[in-house]
Amino acid sequence: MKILSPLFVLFVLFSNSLMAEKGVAFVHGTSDNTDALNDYWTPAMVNSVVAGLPNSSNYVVINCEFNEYAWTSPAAGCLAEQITNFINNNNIDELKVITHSHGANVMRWILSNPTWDSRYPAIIATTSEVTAIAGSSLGTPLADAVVAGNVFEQLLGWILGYASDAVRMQQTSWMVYYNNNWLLGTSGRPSLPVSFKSIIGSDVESAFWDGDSYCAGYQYQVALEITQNWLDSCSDGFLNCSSQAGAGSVWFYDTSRTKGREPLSHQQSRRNCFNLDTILRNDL
Amino acid sequence: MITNKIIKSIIFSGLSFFMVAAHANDALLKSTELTSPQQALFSINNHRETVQFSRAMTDTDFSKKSQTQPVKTESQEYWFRVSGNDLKQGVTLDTSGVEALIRISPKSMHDPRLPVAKQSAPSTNLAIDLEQLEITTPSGKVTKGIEAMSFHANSKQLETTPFEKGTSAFKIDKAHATGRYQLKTSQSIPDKQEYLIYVLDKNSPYKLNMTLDNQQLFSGQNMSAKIELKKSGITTNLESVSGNIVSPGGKVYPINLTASKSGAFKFEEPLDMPFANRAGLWEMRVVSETQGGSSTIKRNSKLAFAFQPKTARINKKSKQASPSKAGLTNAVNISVSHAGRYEVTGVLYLVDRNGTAKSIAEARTAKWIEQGSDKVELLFQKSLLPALKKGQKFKVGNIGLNDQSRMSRLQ
Repeated sequence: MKILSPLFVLFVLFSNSLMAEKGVAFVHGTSDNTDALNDYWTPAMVNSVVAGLPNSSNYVVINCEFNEYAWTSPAAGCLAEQITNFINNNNIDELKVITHSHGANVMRWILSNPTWDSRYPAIIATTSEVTAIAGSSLGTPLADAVVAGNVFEQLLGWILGYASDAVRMQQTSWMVYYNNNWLLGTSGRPSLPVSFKSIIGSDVESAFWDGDSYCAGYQYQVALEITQNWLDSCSDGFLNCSSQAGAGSVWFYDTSRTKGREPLSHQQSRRNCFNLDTILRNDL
Repeated sequence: MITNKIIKSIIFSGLSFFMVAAHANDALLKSTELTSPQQALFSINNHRETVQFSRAMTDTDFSKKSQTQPVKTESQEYWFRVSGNDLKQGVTLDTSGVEALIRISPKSMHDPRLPVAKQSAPSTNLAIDLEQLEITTPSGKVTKGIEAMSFHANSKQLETTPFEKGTSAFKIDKAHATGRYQLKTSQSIPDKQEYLIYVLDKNSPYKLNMTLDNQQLFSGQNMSAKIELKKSGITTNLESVSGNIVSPGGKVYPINLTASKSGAFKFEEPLDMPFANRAGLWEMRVVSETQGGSSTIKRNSKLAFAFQPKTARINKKSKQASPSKAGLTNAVNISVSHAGRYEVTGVLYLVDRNGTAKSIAEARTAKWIEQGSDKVELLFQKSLLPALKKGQKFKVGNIGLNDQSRMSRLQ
């Protein structure tokens, strides 16, 4: 036994190094984050999803500056850095990436431009699938409305009423350009190098008497119901369904899988509302 | 010399096959001269490592959806700025559809006495209180507060939206006619404070359509734009259109749009603005006005495009394709006017005996290149290459060139 024990330890270590290590990365949307676990996703959502992993500690919640253009160092560069560290530190060889909103565009930037940065090819090789929840793949008319009316101030040399670069990028005609020239996976373009499937949020409910309107915060539901005025009837309050379905393949529309066939607003689709967390957990 | 032949017979992995290195698209090679090396350009990607990538690519349609792709938009909205004093005196707005959505946002103001960092952002204190608004309808009825609104949201309710702080919004009740309205506030707001009034006339039959023939332009290349007003899908005469081109940094270049016999307005001129000093797209923005019954049909519209320097081109001589231990390599020679990170892309086709080509893989290589000429080598990894059957051959084609430092799609 004394002789076997070290060999056994070596065997276990060797076996572990050969076993596939599955991991999950949660990629937030348009915002600068230092604590996306608490501020963006919530631990309740993340912990519920990662319970489906063989090793539930194999996950990373990304914290980057996604108010910048997708290709910049604080955005895609930061995402690449954090994913690379996660892969290396945990010997991950099968990575599932779950994105929300504009996070899909930043991830798609990496997948579409493998030679931009020497870290990208290894990320692509390790990523088995991207699940894009409410991805802003075709941009949003809301971004056009937000940026409208900005004026250039000659004395300042800058734009007044300036929205973030990420919001500018998500204007619809901007995304037409980026999709046609720098991003893959939209209609008529070459496919992405990994599976990219979308979850679509199709409506916002904000009836004060309906308890479902309170999941993820009632005030957000009210605000998103207002912003829905800029959008199609099929929208999550921030994005049209067509944009969410604009890249890769559609996995499902919210009401086809959620508990009580509830729609997922743009706020609710990053929280554990209506069994979304369970659906994601079971997909790991 | 065998090396000068386009078609070469080679031995690779014990199999005999033909391989063709296709010419880069000759039409693309005829594009404009390179940007003068003396011209200072920004660089957003300064990575120095050479990165090669290849993957299986089975898309049957690998046609590049870029370069000459037209882009269109249709607008049912317009916006304008007014001062706090204007709002207190009363401002007019026109609608041509029921339930128009009105958004009022206080805007940032430039104080010349303060540095950029200390310029104030709009605040909720400057929000327009809808309860203190007086709306005069086209029929002359004066309504108070939210009486004429079918829907309204104050700045607190809009706090979590991406709109500027202090934004409030409402919809005109459909019981009221379309036409000219007046908005007036009894609120105490600074006279000089600027507000943006944004009208989304979603149920209007009028749409301003704007089309750019090409969303990607080099200096000296013609920009072709068409602006037309449609009423229920039928082109109607546009009375006036003004426009400008706005750089990624916000510099404004006025343009002249000309009326055509069809009632549309057009812009067709070569672009010669100085290149921007930051990343991002340029925009063409237009404002139109046309009389339509009891009101004026106002529309704003904008479309983005890339205006980019021509910093590199593929040289015609780069027509080599050869096997290597790692797979199949294809060297592409390029000339470069500005140091930067350049990417060459290519597609590997399997061509059958009938000449039918099917894409099987793509390869990309990016490297840092100083001003002058250099070679970029594409590598299609061995694992991507199927064993050739009799009469089959490989062909490398659809060669592309990108400047990753300036984010320019060059060829």
